[in-house]
Amino acid sequence: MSDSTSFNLEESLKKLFGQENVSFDPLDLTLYGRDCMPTSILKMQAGAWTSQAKCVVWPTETRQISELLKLAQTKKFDVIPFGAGSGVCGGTEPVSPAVIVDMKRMDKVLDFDPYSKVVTVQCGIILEHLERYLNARGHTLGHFPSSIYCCTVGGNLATRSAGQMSSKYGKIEDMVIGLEVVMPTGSVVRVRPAPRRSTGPDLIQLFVGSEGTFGIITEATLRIWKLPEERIFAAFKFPDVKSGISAMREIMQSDIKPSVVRFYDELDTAFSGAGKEEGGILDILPIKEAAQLLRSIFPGLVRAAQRAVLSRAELLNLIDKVVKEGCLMILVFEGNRKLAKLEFEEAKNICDKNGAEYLGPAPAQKWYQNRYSISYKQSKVFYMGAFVDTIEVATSWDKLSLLYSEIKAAISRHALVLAHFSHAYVDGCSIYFTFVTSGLSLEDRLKVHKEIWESAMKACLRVGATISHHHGVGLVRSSWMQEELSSSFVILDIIKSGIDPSGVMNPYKLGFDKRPLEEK
Amino acid sequence: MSLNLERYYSLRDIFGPERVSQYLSDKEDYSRDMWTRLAIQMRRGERLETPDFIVWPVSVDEISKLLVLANNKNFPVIPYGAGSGVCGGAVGISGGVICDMKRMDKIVDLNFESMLARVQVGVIGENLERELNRRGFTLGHFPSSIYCATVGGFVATRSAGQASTKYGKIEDMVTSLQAVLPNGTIINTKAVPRKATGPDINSLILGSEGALAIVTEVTLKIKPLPEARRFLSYTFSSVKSGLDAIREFMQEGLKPAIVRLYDETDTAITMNALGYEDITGCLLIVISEGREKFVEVESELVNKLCTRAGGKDRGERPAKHWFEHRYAISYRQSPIMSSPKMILDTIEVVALWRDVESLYVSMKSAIEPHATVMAHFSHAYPEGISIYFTVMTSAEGDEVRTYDDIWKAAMTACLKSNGVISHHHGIGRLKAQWLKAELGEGYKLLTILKKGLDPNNILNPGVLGLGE
Repeated sequence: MSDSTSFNLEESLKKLFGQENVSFDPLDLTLYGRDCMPTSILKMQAGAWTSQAKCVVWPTETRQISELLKLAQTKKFDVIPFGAGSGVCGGTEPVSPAVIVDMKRMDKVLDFDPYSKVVTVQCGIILEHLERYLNARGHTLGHFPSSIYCCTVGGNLATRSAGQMSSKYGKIEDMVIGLEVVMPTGSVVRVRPAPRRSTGPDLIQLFVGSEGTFGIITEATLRIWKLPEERIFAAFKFPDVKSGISAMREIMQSDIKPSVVRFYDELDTAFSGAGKEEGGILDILPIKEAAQLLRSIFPGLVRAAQRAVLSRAELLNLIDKVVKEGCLMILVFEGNRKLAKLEFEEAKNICDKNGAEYLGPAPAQKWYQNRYSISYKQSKVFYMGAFVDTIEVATSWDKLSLLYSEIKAAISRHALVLAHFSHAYVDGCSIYFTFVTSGLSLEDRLKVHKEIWESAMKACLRVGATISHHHGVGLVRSSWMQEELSSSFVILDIIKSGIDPSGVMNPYKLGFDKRPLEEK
Repeated sequence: MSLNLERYYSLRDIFGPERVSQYLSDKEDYSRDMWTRLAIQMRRGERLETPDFIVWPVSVDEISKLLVLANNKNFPVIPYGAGSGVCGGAVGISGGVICDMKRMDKIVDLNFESMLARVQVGVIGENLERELNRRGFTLGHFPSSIYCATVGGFVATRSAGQASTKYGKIEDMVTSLQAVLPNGTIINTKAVPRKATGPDINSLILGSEGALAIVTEVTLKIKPLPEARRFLSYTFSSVKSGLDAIREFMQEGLKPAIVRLYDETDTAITMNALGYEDITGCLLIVISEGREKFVEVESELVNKLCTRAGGKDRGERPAKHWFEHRYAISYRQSPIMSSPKMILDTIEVVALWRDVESLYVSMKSAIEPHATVMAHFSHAYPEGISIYFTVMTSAEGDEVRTYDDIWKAAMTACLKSNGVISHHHGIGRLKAQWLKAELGEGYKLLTILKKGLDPNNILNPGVLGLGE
């Protein structure tokens, strides 16, 4: 970031946003300097992390953002849009000093149109607030990432998020039909909402997934749905992963659109407490009450023991040879009552055919009731001195088993790894790996984290799968982007240099170098 | 002369003597697509702008070499499918080379486990459909041009077929593609169901109408052939009640393959052709297809909602008749165009439900002073629907002038009434002048894309209004 000698950043920002809406306060800079990327959390715990945020601003209108970006282009200071900071890839973490633009004051519902089934919002709105607004009026967005309480619509669009009910309601790119975005040069692009158009390349899709590198998204028009009149829960136990994948594929290829499809491998079924209320690593010990007693008397001792066990991942991974709980599948059908019932019946037949045991609705209902709490439980693992991270990938059905076994084998060398399959499509599926491990020092932990990610990414590229299904690129995958996109990366590079000549929008993310193409 | 000879030798080196032509008859054939304006000009004896050469590549490497040559020697290249576009997207440009993709028509791979087909883009839509049918599958993409359109054309124009309400539009079907950039670089996007690795590059190439890249291969999602098919027909007393019925069942989450509502004028013509006499109002055709049990439930629900909205059940016959003759209409129209002074064209737009009726009324009254106009509504969504106007007249004065007046009136009314100027035919050169108004600042983005990818402006210059 270039030095500003005659240009006074603080003065200019305060003039633009108002005194109260600009902060250089160290506490604000610390809080806004990262998102939920695990390696930064680890560094912070060890006292080895400092924020690169230069200041924080809170815009209330598009015009202010336009002026800011114009200024940033000419005075060459970096800008990073910030929603609620729940990304897990370091997408909003500044690598070099940057102005953080917190969008959350732009949080209004601008237009609610139940007749056309669309809603227009300012993108700083918290997703759960929007959902609540719609529910109160008999509607739903259908977008349920587990971060729903702490993410914004802008963040959803910027990262290409997908929620737990994406199989029925679609992913974010299926939901957005109109957009307002401020370009890095300050001009405001508006794509008028329409169900569909053939007016050249889809400009909206240029920004969905741009992770703050192509401009700042300010408004969006999204499709909405009537709240479903019926919701049917069903859980099944499959003998193994193979039979469950086969059933999932058949279901998705039979015109059935479950709102939820989640299939847990053996370890995930045993550990994560899917369908159980008290899920968690701690509950694998059959002597649950004894463990709870120990924990209350000797909390430090229990933590140390757990840490020791967790760093011997190869021990834990052997458990799946012993645990024979099978593989749990959760299905939910919703919408028109007759159709939902038919979908459930057809899906049940398919599951039966593939060797599943019907468990009734209860495990699925329990998952549904606890579906958001799991992410919050992860922080306990960090307090124990271990850490947890997730890697989500996707591929076509014919490569799915191979991808699963390759990545599982790669990660198992270093950590306890759980996996579930969700976000199923007609042509393929996503796999969500959760891994837990520990290390004696920060260096050890970062080292093992790096090795795990490297082996997982390499496995994806080898199989021909994608390195991210919905979490995005941010920092964690930035160095893999050229390999992931290979020949087509050049298109993104050309667009970046064309629309952000000074290279100030969220630099070092998405695999972009700091400086544009010409200067390389 | 000597420039052309040098050019000929360079092209011959890439394509071989059999696959390069400068015959006058070829140049004239490839000077246009099915844009009505060009047909009018040709009909009255005007000489259209012709390309200098036509080439027929059989590999992506040949196309890469062609584009490298085009950049070095600064001549335009126009990718050409089967030439059935109606917007002047693929036309002759003086000094240019038409790149006819139809020799690249192979099905490269069929993956039934993942329901994917990998094809070269020069394959005719109907031929691909037949190959898939033989194996029990369908692409589900049925534009009325299916006999004379290529997959490449579908991709370039963002086409939508008649059954799009169930099977999706072309962007819902393409999972990955291979293309050649104007500088000769061959790019490939990954064939995965979905990814979050930056903006979707497929979406930038889809709909670029040959201005940003030449697409050579695509991976398409295929579906099993439907087990059952049900035909439903209703008449409504007004366009409004018909639209209400559609909105109701679309927002209930139903996805019938075919949904077509004809306005009063179009209904009268259609019902006449069917032999129904005392029937007035607006005809709604709904066809549900898929797995037997789903078709049963879907038809039942559609019937309930259509009846509730005031629809009178007309049984199977009107829908069946439409289905059996659904491609014939375009071919029936061409004799009209062979008469001097006749103008026949179609204008298709789209809007959210809240704007559909006023858009219909506003465009109809804007066009009526110039031509007879009838309309049907199809490609239904929970959020809105597309309107398809057919306009016809015998020009009193200059035909081209009348043609331009019709389009100007229609497009101006469309933009004023919150409609989007094209649902699936695309922009070409016909609608380029209104694209700027349609996209606003977004148009600058298109020009940035164009400048960045095609700095020498060699790929189909003028289409989308870019690089004029």
